[in-house]
Amino acid sequence: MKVELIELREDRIRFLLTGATAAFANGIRRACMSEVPTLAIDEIRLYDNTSVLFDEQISLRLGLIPLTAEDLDVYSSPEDCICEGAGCPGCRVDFILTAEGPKMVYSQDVVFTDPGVKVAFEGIPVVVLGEGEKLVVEGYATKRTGSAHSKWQSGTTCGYKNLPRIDIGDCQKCGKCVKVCPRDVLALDEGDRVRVVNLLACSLCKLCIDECDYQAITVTPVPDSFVLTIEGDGSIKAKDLVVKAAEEIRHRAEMIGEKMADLS
Amino acid sequence: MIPVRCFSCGKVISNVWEEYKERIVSEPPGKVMDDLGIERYCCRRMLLAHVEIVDVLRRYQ
Ligand code: SF4
Ligand code: SF4
Ligand SMILES: [Zn+2]
Ligand SMILES: [Zn+2]
Repeated sequence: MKVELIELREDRIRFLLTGATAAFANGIRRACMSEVPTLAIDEIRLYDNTSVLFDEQISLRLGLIPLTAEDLDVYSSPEDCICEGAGCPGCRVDFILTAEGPKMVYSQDVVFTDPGVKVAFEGIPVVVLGEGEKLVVEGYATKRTGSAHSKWQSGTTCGYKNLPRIDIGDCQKCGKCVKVCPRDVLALDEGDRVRVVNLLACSLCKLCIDECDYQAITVTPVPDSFVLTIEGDGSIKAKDLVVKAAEEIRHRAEMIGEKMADLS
Repeated sequence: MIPVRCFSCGKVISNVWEEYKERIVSEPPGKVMDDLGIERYCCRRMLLAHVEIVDVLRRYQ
């Protein structure tokens, strides 16, 4: 198995995975989305809310704000905590949010008791308060995975496709395929046939094949090569997200190994 | 209120809403979204199609 980096940003990573099965590529994708834990606001108590939004709407909006922690490992998820889910400082991060109008309440107005825990994005409007309107909220965040609820999903937009392979045979240089391609993959220049200029952008739509009157072009998926695109929700760097997802898969594989060893 | 995240893909888009709203007065919305890193059309429609009605609702509080 080989990994080649294509693009790396804070919030997104693209890489080429060769020598793997579709099941493995999908395993990475699914682990990024539903097995890498993150913090999210879990339960709130509203002491006062005279804003135009219903309590439930405030609660929904708070839950969707991604949170970052300096060290996420100090927290355990409620199920694995020594308190056995009752709730303790080991599995909860308390916060308060108080505001009085006229004012726009932003994500950064949520104050956590642990200074290492912060909102991943400042400037998310929570609710706008008019003259004399008040909001007093208290609550806590917990660490869970995307399989519990999408607000704990560290990887939001994750996908893969097979690496395309484009072969050009007896090309007449009519240029019809170049024109029809929605991703500008092909180009017509000096050579004696069309040229592939941007292979990774090809979506395997096969429009070019239909357009060619000479059956000169073929597009086939390379069965054991995948282009993965993983985008995080902002609570974790995309690079770390993939590393953690891979660790999770290894951990699970080891668990199965141990179980099987017990059986035999 | 602008939804916190894109309904379809889950990207946080609300943090750029205020800047978007200010800039589209003098610039084309498409260019502003490009600048703000709103790439996918699911996210772009969140900003493009949003109508702020909280101030209308307030009258009936
Ligand atoms: S399969 Fe589609 S995207 Fe790929 S080169 Fe042909 S027309 Fe372009
Ligand atoms: S449509 Fe076929 S013949 Fe025409 S340029 Fe493309 S590959 Fe060549
Ligand atoms: Zn606990
Ligand atoms: Zn989107």
